[in-house]
Amino acid sequence: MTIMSKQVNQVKLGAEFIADTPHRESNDRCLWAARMRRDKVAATLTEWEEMRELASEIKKHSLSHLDGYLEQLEENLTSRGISVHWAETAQDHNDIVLEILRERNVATLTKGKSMAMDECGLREHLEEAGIEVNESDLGERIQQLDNQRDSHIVMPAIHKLRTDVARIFAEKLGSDPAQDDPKYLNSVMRADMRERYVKADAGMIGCNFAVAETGTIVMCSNEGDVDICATVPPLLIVTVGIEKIIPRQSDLPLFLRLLSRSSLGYDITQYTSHISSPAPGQEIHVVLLDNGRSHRLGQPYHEVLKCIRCGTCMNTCPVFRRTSGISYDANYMGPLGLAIMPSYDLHRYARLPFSCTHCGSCGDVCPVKVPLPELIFYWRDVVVEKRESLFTHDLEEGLMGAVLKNSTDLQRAEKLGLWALRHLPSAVAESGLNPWAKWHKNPIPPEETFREWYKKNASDLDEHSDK
Amino acid sequence: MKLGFFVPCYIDAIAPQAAISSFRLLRRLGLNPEFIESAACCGLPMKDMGYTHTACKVENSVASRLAGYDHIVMPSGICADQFKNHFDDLEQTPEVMQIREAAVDLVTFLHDIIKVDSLPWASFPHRVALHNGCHSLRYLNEARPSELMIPEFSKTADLLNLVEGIEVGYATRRDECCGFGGTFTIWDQSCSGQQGLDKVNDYARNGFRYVTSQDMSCLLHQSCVARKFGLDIKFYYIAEILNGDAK
Amino acid sequence: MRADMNPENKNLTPRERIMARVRANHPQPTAHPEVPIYPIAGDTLENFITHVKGFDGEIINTTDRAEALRWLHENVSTEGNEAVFSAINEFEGNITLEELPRPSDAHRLHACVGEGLLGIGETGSVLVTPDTFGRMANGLLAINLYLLLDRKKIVAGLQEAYSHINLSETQYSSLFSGPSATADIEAVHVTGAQGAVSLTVILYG
Repeated sequence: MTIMSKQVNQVKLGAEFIADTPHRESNDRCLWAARMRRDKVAATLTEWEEMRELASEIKKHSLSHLDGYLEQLEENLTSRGISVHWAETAQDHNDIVLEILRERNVATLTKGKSMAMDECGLREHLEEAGIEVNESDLGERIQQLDNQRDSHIVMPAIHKLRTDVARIFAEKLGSDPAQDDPKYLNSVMRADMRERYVKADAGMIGCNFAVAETGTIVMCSNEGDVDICATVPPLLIVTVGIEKIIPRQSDLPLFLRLLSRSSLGYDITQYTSHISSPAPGQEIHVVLLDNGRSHRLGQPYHEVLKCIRCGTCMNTCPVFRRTSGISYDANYMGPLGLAIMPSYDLHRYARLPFSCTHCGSCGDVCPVKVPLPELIFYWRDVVVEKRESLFTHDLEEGLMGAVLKNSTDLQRAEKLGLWALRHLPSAVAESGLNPWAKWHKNPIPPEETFREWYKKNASDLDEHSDK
Repeated sequence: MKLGFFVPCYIDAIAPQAAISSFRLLRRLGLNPEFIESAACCGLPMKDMGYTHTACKVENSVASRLAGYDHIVMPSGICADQFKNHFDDLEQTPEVMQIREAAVDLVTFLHDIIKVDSLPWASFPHRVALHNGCHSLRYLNEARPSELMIPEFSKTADLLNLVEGIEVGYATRRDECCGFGGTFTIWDQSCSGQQGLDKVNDYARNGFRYVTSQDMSCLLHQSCVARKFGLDIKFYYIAEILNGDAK
Repeated sequence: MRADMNPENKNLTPRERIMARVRANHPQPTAHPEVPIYPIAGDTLENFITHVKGFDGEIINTTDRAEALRWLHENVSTEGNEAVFSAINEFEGNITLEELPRPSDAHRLHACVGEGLLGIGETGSVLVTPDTFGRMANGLLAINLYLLLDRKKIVAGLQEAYSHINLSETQYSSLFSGPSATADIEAVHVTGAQGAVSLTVILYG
């Protein structure tokens, strides 16, 4: 018997965040501002929609020729002295990394933000093995110190208020608890990390793109921390999900033109960096991570592998902005999370695909046209098919299926509903028995249904018709 | 032109005025819509919850009653989207394919098919917020979604602008989802409610006292939230304004 | 199925198993599309200046290289205790690479002076390599960066820029667009995250 993982209840966790007005409003305001900036900069490029299509096609092409591009990437990297490792699973990935670190007696390291490493639980794995891991991205560091998952793939602590950060930094880094100015908090981070960069035995980073043609790892970041991790310590380990490949150098600017504009609404990230070989005296290892990707490649939802992790689907999602990424309790959250997390653990994430109003906004902002709304629908079907659904769900289906199939039953159900609307005292109809009533008044019942009106008026109408 | 008129279940029961105004408007425009009395649910709620199997049964049942029309007009973007885009799980018989082709939301029908260019009977001398329902906007292309960098257009606004005295405007977050989402409003009442509240507050902050949409389900949700929170805003289905019924 | 094609074959290496699974699961092959070079609206130099400033960088306009160097001499002091590293022949710093034996020693640098290889109007980016700073770490850990840049080396857009770069023959290269920054706390933009706190581009030529 397999042990079932605990199912994530995004609705419940989300309701807690919604009830916390200052946090909800801040989260929503920050992310909506990013969406607005994105609209503004995207509108300056007449080729925007064409670029989305091309980026999607290039990603589709690379995914459909992945074997060749992986070989090309590996050959180019190794020919220039970069060691390449292949990790089939998260466990393999962590074992490979730990072995490299142990062989070189690494005691402390600095680590740039990497969703692929997070997916593997690498930091926890290394910490258990006694290695000091210092997250170098400000948001990620805040989350590490607070022992909480990221709430956003680009802005990991965006759900927090400055007062939260001031409290955490005061507790963990000894800063002044009374000062919550982001500039001050940033300076605390900067000063603390400087010492850690100096003593780090190794650096670890993820990657945004891997160019097969040139054998180049491309990183896009704003804080400079990723570049510091990549160049300052003598040992560098890079985790590259195998879907990160793009074929040619000439493809790269297309993706760069889309990435930061989609993500935060800026024309480019402050640092866009390329590694093609180790610096003198430096050792570089690249771990190519599968962890289910080669399986997903053959599934109906394989287009989710086109994702370039810009986070714009999260910024635009009306549910995400109000419930925060924390409520998804997942490595990938928001619309991307709905479309991919069930492929990691169907039972645990069975409820996620329902946390969506189907407004379609995510599909329209995605710079590589991942068909997110379709994939979310896809997973709803799978959840039901695999009997991962919930009791209440089944009950609703039974009733709805029976009632909605034909118009006579439907009319009876409508009549029953209307009778209730008209005759139940509001004390009952809008009590706790009707949870909708917390946010809604019940609809005002009409005098008659359309059918009733039509029966009465059809003949009258016919007289005026032009037949 | 053999014209069918499909009335979605929720409109029949809770918002019949939307259908009445639509029906009357079609008549007034010299058309002879035939109310398809035997038709029932389009299967959307089941599809929405992932019950494709049950949805297919319901879809098949309704499909058998909709055959033979050149156009099946419905005062509901979500249902038109369901027929057009989600009847792909059914066996694609000529009948099903014809129904998918024929199903059309009222706004698309008026704007694209019969190309209405005047509504001399309609007057609405008010500032009104136009809420383009998400399905009409992003799946039926009735206006430019703010996400897409394509030339500006709005079939809904074009039609409304034929009404005398009207001033069409928008909430600050012009086309953010209001949180109805079909079964979502039951599945996640908090988020649905919060989205609805944010939307109606947006109207109120912008001084709107009237709101219209081509999607009655959005309006039902928004109006119930607005009443709950004591906001004095009137919500009209678009045909109520186009037919001159809204006062 | 051949043994070396079966992803479940335990005798294969992880690499072979991953590749076998990738091959078995490839989606329908599609072609690599041709990507046109899109024109960039506006004047390239003006775009560059606007974007550098937009990213909180500073622009110093000089006429020729001699004036650019004069500006450096007048504004970047090497007299005091603050360490200044320069990778430019005509401007001498007060600390050498030998005095910074490890890359991490660059954290002592108050300033670092170098020459940008290329500018990009579309984004206000300056292309740099380890040679620009003597060592990459100098350009990352120094508090203030000064980059000379020949106006003739500014191209219109990112696409054009990448046609001038040879990634496979460049050990490390980076596009610097303003000094480091973060907006991780309540999306409040703060300049000077973990890399440079200021970046000054001195245009000449």
